[in-house]
Amino acid sequence: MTTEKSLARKAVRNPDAFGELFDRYSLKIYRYIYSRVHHRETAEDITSQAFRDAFESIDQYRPIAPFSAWLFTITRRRIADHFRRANPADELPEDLSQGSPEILDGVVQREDLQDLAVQLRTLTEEEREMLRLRFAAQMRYKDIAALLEKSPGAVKMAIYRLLDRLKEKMEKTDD
Amino acid sequence: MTKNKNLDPKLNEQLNKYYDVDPRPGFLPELRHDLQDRYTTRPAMRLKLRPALALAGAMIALVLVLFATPVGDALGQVLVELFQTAEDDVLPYPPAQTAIAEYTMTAALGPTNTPMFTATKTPDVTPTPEPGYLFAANMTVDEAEQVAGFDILVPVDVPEYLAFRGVAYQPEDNITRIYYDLIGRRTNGLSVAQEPVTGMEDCDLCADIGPSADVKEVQIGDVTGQYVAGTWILEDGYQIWKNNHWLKRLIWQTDDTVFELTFFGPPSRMLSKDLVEVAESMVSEIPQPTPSPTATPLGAAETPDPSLKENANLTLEEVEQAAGFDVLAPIYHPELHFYGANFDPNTNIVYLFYEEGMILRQEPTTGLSDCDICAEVRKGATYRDVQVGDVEAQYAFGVWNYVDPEGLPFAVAQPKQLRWQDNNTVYEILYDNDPSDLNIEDLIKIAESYR
Repeated sequence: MTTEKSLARKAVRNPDAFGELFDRYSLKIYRYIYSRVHHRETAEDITSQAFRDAFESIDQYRPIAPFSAWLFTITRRRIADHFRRANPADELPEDLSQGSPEILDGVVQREDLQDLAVQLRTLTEEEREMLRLRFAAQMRYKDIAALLEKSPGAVKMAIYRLLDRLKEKMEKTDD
Repeated sequence: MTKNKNLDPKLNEQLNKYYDVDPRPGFLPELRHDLQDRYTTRPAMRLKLRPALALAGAMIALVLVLFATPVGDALGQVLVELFQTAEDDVLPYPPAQTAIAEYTMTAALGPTNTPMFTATKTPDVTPTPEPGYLFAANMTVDEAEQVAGFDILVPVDVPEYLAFRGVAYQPEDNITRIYYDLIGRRTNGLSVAQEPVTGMEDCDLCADIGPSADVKEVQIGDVTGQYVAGTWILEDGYQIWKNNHWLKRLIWQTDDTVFELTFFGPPSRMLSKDLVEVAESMVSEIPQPTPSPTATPLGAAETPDPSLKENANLTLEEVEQAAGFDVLAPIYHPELHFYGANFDPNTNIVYLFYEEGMILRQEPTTGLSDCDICAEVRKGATYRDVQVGDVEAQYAFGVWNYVDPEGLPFAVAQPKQLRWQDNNTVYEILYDNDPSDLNIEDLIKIAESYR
């Protein structure tokens, strides 16, 4: 809300204000990046780069859009840079069965999520991105809407319909 | 009650788990520290520039004062008393109930050159009621500037829950008002008013407040403004000042212009600090970057407000299709006739209107953070926990009875509200009619008949 906009304005000169913004967003940014790159060190690097970019350009933030949308725009740009530089195959699909050992370790601990992982593979990249923004980044609908330049209602409805479809698919698998 | 098939808490939980990171990243504290360290080099550059900038600013200000204001006019600014205090919190109300009593202000200069006002009641004067400017706010800022003949300052930092409606001009007072709707509640919102003042006597924005009003001084940039929460309420032929938080006002003066922000709406929205933020963000040029997705762009055609009964032209089937989720309606609704339904895509709320003042609302939600219905609370209402089937619900009964900033009465009602959450959907029954018609038991019975 406006408090974040106000914090962002103060953060130009005030380290405490920037620190507060960092506390609010750092884990969300990391979770989101991790959901894209599936690699811990890479996610840490990109998180650091994204926050350094945000720090350097905080005085360019205009409180017309939500702060989170601005920050995630920077983050997505950094992720795109990463994939451009690296082998495009670095962006692993949501298919955990083809993932790195690190991911497979995770699967062992989260067997109940395997069905979900399989169903996520059937979604389009745009649909997966909506889910990442909502569940990994834990963004509000209105912030996702600002980031994707859609209306909050359209985003909220799209996500609900997506969840509905995902649920149906998972129920069919159970049968 | 039937179940809403669209939202599955288990799936929500699985997705949250799926996207969770474990263990928690340990590098974040170090990164935070590193970023904060960078401030030690960054402000140094700015400090060198600051004295020069300050000097330049001071020179410009001095030039403006010397050349742009009349000589001998005490730094060119006539200070007005922003809030004027009425003689009592309880005043007789004109029998016609069309306007509040008018006060004649006589001014005198105090020992410190601060203008002081004494309020003298003139009961014979019954001013003509002002038109409903809120509903006539159909100009763009440019159009209003042309009509008014002065530059209008526009806030760039407006909360996302407000949507630009339009600008109105009151020629008799020379006041412009920019209106923003509180999304989902057509009659709630923010007004940004601006009035050029040439002397102490012509400030129409400097309205009366009750003597018990808690006026706070607040800083808006380098200007001191005044903030008050409260309004006049009509009761038994009297207008009574109430210090409630449904109507908040911030007023300040810069040079020869008085500005006033008035917010009418749920007390949890637009606190004094939010009003100050809006005030501090006011600029003379309208910024061009991307408009807020929730707001109507300046000057754009308005879409019909889904929260108004007259726009409810959908059937139950149509509204369900528009919403994309199951819409439940009561099969028990004693002598209440369904009028029509509507869907608000901005808030994802479905409205069902009944002829006799009953409105049912329904909103899918994953929690309090994205529940728009839950954001609306009424201070002063009586609350009671009740059961709707096997679900806990909350019932509220209270009175809305206000006088708007222009002194006109509005929203005289005694609404009853029942609100509950079931299976990731929030439901609300609002009954806004003769209080003796439906009681709490009736509302619960209606709620329990949802199918």
